[in-house]
Order: sequence, then C-alpha cells, then structure tokens
Amino acid sequence: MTSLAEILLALFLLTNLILAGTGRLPQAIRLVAAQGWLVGLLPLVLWSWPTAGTPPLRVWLVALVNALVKGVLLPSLLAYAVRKVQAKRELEPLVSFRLSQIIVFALCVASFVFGKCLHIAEAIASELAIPVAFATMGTGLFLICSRRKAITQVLGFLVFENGITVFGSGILMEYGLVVELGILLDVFVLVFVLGIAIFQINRTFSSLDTDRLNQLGDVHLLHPHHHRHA
Amino acid sequence: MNSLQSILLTLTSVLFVADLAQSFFYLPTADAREGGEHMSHGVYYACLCGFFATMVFALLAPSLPLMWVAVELTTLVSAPLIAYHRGTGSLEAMWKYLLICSIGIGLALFGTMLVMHAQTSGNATWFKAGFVFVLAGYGTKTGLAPFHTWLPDAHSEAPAPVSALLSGALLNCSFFAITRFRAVMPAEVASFCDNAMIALGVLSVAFAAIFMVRQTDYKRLLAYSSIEHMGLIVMLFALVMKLLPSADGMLRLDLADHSPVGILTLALFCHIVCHSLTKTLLFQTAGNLLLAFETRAITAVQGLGVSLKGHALLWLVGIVFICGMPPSALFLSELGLVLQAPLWMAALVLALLFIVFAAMTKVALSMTMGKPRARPVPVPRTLLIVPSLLFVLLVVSGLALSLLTVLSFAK
Amino acid sequence: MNFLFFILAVVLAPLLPGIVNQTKAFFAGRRGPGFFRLYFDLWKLLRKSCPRSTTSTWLFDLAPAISLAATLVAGMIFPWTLDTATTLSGISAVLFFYLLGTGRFFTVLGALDTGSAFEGMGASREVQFSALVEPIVFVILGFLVLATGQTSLAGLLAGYDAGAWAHHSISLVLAVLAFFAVLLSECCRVPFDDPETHLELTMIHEAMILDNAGPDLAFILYGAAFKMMLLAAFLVALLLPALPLAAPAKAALLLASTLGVAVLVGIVESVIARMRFLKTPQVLSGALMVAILATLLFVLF
Repeated sequence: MTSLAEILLALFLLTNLILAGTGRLPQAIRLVAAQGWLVGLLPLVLWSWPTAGTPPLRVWLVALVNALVKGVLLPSLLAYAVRKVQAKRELEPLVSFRLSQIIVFALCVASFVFGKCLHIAEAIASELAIPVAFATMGTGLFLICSRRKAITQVLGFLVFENGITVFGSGILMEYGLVVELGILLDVFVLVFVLGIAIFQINRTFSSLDTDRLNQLGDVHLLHPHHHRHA
Repeated sequence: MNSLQSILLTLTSVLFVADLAQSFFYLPTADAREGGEHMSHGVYYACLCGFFATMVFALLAPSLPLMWVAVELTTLVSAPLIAYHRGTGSLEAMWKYLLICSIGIGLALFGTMLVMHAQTSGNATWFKAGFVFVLAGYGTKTGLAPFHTWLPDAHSEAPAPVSALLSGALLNCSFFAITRFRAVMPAEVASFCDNAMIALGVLSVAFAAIFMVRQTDYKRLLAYSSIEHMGLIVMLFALVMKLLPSADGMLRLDLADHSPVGILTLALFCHIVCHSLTKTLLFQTAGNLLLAFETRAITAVQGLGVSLKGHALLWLVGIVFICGMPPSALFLSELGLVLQAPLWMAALVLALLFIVFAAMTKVALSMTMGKPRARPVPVPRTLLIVPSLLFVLLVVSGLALSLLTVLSFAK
Repeated sequence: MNFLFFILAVVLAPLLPGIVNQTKAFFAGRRGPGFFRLYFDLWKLLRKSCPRSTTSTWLFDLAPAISLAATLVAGMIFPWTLDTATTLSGISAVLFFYLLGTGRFFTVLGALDTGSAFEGMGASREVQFSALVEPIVFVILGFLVLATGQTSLAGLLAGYDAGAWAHHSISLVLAVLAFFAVLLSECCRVPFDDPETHLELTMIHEAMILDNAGPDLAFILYGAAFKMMLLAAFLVALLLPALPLAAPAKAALLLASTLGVAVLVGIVESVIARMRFLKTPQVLSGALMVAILATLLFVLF
C-alpha cells in the first residue's frame, strides 16, 4: 500500500466536499487549481519506484505539463475572467450549498461501495484510485448541473476531467506522450473557448447566469397550448 | 483503410468544398440581412478549414485515444462557427454545444480508457462498460437520443453552411468513432453492443418523430431529421454487425454480394452518403429561405412555388428525398433495413418513419404551395448554384444506384 | 505515574492560550502579551473578591466550580502515559467526553441562571455547536473502536500498532482533520468563535461568562485552558501509533506535542478569518462527513 498516494487521493475527496459547499468563486478556483497539482503529482506518486526505478522523462514531462496547465494556467485564466466580469460568488445555486455537500458526500460513499463491489484485482495502482475517480467525476457533473454561473460550470467540467485523469492514472494507463499532450491541449483549448464565450455571454446578457440561456429548446412543443416564453 | 473510412473521407471532402463555396455566396448577403455584430470572415474561414482538418484527422487517427483528441478538437473548432452572428440565441446554442459535447466526449475518454484496459486484461465486463460509455459519449456528438439536446439548437442557430457541415460531416465522423470501437469488441460482448446501438437508434427515431410533428421552425425540423437518420444509420450498422460472420469487424462494400450482410452493408453506405448530400442541400436551401424571409417560422413562409420557384423546387424535392421516396437512395437503404430487421423492429421503424414522412411533407407542402403571404426579400441567384449542383448529383446518383441494384438482383 | 503527568498537565495548561496568542502576535508582527500571561491573570483574579448578582441562585454560584471539577476529573482519567496496563484500563472513552459535556452543561446552566439576554444567546449558541460536534466525536470514537478492537479510553488511544497505523494512514489523517475541527469548535477558536471579540452579539463562549468575576472567572478561564490541553492531547494520541518507548518518554512526547498543537491553532487563527455564524453548521457537518468517510474507508479498504 502506497500511503502517500492514498493521502493525495483523500485530498481529492476533501477538495470535492469543500467545492460543493463554497460559493466564493476565487476560493473555488483555488480548490480546482489544487486539484490540478494533485492530478499532476499523482502519476509520479503512483509510480512503483522500488521495482521500476526512476520514471522515464515522458512521465516527468507529462506530470509537469499537467500540473502547470491544470494547476496554474487554467486557474489563472479563470481568475482573470472572474476579475473582468466582476463575478464574485455563486449567489443562488439551483441546489443549496448544504444539500450540495450532502449530495457530494453521498456520491463519495456510493463510489466507495461501488468500487469495493467491482473487485478490480488486476493492474491497478491503488485500491482507492477508482472510487476517488468516480467520486470526482460525479462531483464535476453535479456541479455543472446544479450551478447557474457559467464560470462555476466550467470549474465543474475541470473537476470532471480531473476525475477521468485520476482514473487513467489509477489503472496505470499508458498512452504515450503525444496523446497525453493532445488531451491536455484539448482541455486547454476548451477552457479558452469557454472563457471567450463567457465574455460574450456577459456582454450580451449583462449577466453570467446560464439560466438566461433558456430561449431555445422544444419542450414547449409537448404541452398542448404552447407558447414560447421570452 | 477500410471502405467506411474511405467513403467518409470522400464524402467529408465533397461536403467541405460545397459548404466552402456556399459560404462565399451566403455570408455577404447574411451579413447585410442580419445587421449586428458578426465574426470576421478571416476567422470564419480559418475555423471552417480547421473544422475540416480535424474531421479528417478524426477519420485517419491511428489509435483510439488519438481519435478522441481529434473528435474533441472538432467540437472546439466548430463551436465559434455556431456563434458567427453574435445574437443571444447563437451564444446560447454555442454554450450548450460546447458544454454538452465536451461532457459527452469526456465520457467517451473514460470509455476509451476502459476499453484499452480491457484489451490488455481481456475482461468482458470492462469491454461492456467501456462500450456503454463510448456509445453515450460519441453518441452525444452523433446526435443520438437522449443525448441529442444540443443538436437542434446548434443546427438552427448556426449559419446555413455550418449547419450543413455539422449535419452532413461531423455527425458521420463521430459515428465512425463508434464503429471503430465496435470493431475491437470481442465476440462475447458483441450482441450486447449491437442491442445497445439498436435501442439508441430506435429511441432517436422516436424522439425525432415526436418533436417533428408540431415543429414550428423549419431549420429545427431539419435538425430533428438528422437525429432520425443518425438513428437509422446506427441501427443499420448494428444489424450489419449482428450478421457479419468474420470476427475482424471490417465492413466491406461489395455490390455482387447478395447475402443479407452484403445488402445491409450497401444499404448502410447508401444511407450515409445520401443522407449527408440531401441534408446539405436542404440546410443550404433553408439558409436561402431564411435570407429571403428573415424568419425560421414555418407559418411565415407560404407560396414559395410562386415567389421563389428555384428554391421551392429544391426544398420540395429535398424533403421528399430525405423522407426516402424513390429515386432517392434512402428508399433503398430504408427498404433494406425494414426487410432485414426483426419483425417488431421493422414494424416500429415503419410506423415512426410514417410519422416523420407525414410531418415533413406537410411542412414542405404548406411552405411551397398556396398563395404567398409575405413578399420575400430578393436574394442573389448565386445562392442557388451549389444546391443545384448537389441536386443534380443526388438525382443522378440515386437513379444510378437504383438501376445498379435492380440490375444486380436481376442477374 | 499517570497522576504525576496529570499534575504536569495541570501546571502546563495555562501555557496553551499563551502560545496561541504569541503565535498570532508573531504572525501579526506584534510583541504579544507573553507566554505566561494567563498565569498572572489567574493569580490576579484569584485574589479578587467575588461579587454575585442578587437575582441569581446557587446554580450560578456553583457552576464554575462544578465545570472545572468535571474537566479536571476528565484529565485524571486520561491515559497520559499512553499505556494500556494502568489502573485506568477499564474506563470507557464515553466517560471522558461525558465529563467534558457535564462541564459545558453547568457553564450553560450558570449562564441561563443570570437571566441576561446576552448570556442566554451565548448559551443557546454553545449548545447548538455542541450538538453538531458530538456526532463527529462519536463517529471518531466508533472508528477507533473498529481500528483497535477495544472500548476503553486507554485502549483506544494506545491500541493500534505501527503496521496498522501505516495501513490505515488515510483514514487516520481524515479522522485527525475532523477532530481538529472539533477541537477548534470546542475550544471556541477561530473560525468558529473568536475569543478576542469585544462585541457581545458576536460572542459565543465569552457571552456566557459576562457576569462572572474574580475566582469564578479564574475557574472558568482555567477550565477552558485545561479543556484545550485535554483535546489537544487526545488529538496527538489519535495520530500517534504505539511507540516502543518507556511510559515517561511517551507522556513527555504527548505533552510536548500539545504545545505544538497550540502553535498550529495559532497559525490557523492567523491565516483564516472567523466565519459567519450561519456558515458554521455547514463546516461542522462537513467535518462529520469527513469523519464518516474515514470510518468507511477503514471498513471497506
């Protein structure tokens, strides 16, 4: 049992719980940045040092780039967006912070029980990695669904992505350098494009609440006397 | 390179050229009509070319994770195109497109990991779980119900050439991603995967049929038609895979092969090609109508046959073709599907196709026939060039294919 | 032997608030009141007379003494030498927290007896916090019972060997984090309560003792310091595995570590601000979740 890795994974759970309970955007961004550093460190910590020796350059490079992009670059991009559009906090989430915390807690418990029932014996670095990955992915998806502010939804997506990366590290997935960097590039470009979209949404709607973004859709067609609400 | 890959590459290239050409004619008029802010043309064409490049990358990607990178890139490059006109609606559509597709693609990455891990360990449960996530993930981008919610918004808000390219090329690319995963599934999970695809396919056709019946917006109508056809394509593919004897999962197009597999493979390829071409024609025409009437409401457009004869012809014939009336090759493919499917599925699909047919022809007739209600704003004749060429291509290829099939069966 | 270290703890207890305050002063760039301030304060208060309100009853007179006595008894049964083979080996862990609870109960009763609005408010908040804290304590006790297989206080705190400690380090870390929140809340520290506040409306613990003066106040202040000593010692004992050391060495280590905990509390108080009163239940319920997660991780993995 590699204790340091487990402690890193436990920190993921803690950041998830705190993220669910906070409404202050700068704090949420800092938490996501912390998760980015954890994601970067994880492959190095999970590396079986005694048997495999020093990791190759590729592993170091991926860890470094991961930590820099997810721990520094993207959070500072989002922090810049928060400053520019002057959004400080998530005021009225669709699900209250208390309830969010309880739901995320329930997600953690469920993923532990599920991970235990899965009986994954072969080729995993740590027993905890897969439950933590599930819990983090669930937290990300939950944040996307339960928050109104566009920036919080982007944060939720990053958490979701971190969960997937934890899973990859946990099952010791070996893609090769090109793919790892390609995935990172995708995430970076996505956040960049979403950031530009945030500016445009803020300018067009004078607000960042995504519940303003409900003009389209066809559910009204299912009601017998439909009229599109403005 | 397998047959599907080469056909999709050809198709994507043809559609890209068609939509690039249409953009040259469409954008200046659209800028004048819409007023307001819009993206600079340089960025637009750069994104369009990038969109094409990433789709080719997705089709040619050497490995599954690299394909994931490519498919995600297609989302990122095409998203700005949707918000070409910076209105509230297009921003909303772009936001939904980015967020929903990225989540879907995230699930697909998770599925990719599961499948790759399963390939090393050979565990059937991991294969199953992986395929479910891949199907949900890439299915989101393919527009399969119930993950399709971004599609009508994005297709209706984007400028016409972009809608056409999204519908005709992008959906096929992510469908291709599903087929690549299906090819690596071992025999013991094959039927599970095929049944899952059939279920999603039927669900997509059903969703599309429900939302088409009372549709009030003709571009959204076309978007739902895309959902319907992607559902049919996935169903056809699942049926082919069910019958495919060899374990390598390769699709081979062979006109001389009259076994059920051969017929269904031909039907699948016909459907993909014909749907893409017809849908491009229709979206381009819808864009022209939008420029002429400045509204997407079906009720506002009447009597096209009097006021805009050329567009009326393209619109009516396009809709009739997309519903699967001969000589459209879609007739052959849908016939193949119904003949080879199990009875319950054939009956269900036929009933749903009937609903779709009724909904679409009702719209087409109400728009083309009758007296014009509002005088359309004149649009340049150059807008008709590309759709007309596509129209000729469609009729000729449809007739040729029908003839070929009839001849090969007569032998 | 244990009693000897209990006496040492009694002597050292007033040092802890001094360390916390000096740490905060260090971070704020002040000189601070000095490490031994509380000793002088207590000496000063003990020599003063003890004015009592004419409207309050014997309850108010006795409350400070009773709560100090309860806290001291809790200190007597605490296994300072972290040794299972003492006379204390049969004492249940619940009794320890029960005695601390009794101390709080009488402080609350004394506060209510004055009939003052501020003291009533402080009492109500104190009770609300303790209601939130107690589940955390019992979940952590449950975790310890599972981890050691014993129910006595000495067994719980000294029971697990180094191997089990390494294997379940993650659960332990989470449990220790949760218990640290308990310590901060029970000792009325930032971010739950600010012992230096001068506005009655924002006080919690301080609001309850507005009417106390002289030796009564000294009892209360000393009781609070000793309670912090006990909880800090519990925290350290929770973290430490069974060490192959002599009993006096372990006890000395324990007492030295409590001083370290005080430094940590001082750092926490310097870094974060006191949170809004309404936010507190959420943080405490978060700590409860962390404690449950710790137990769950222990059970499942």
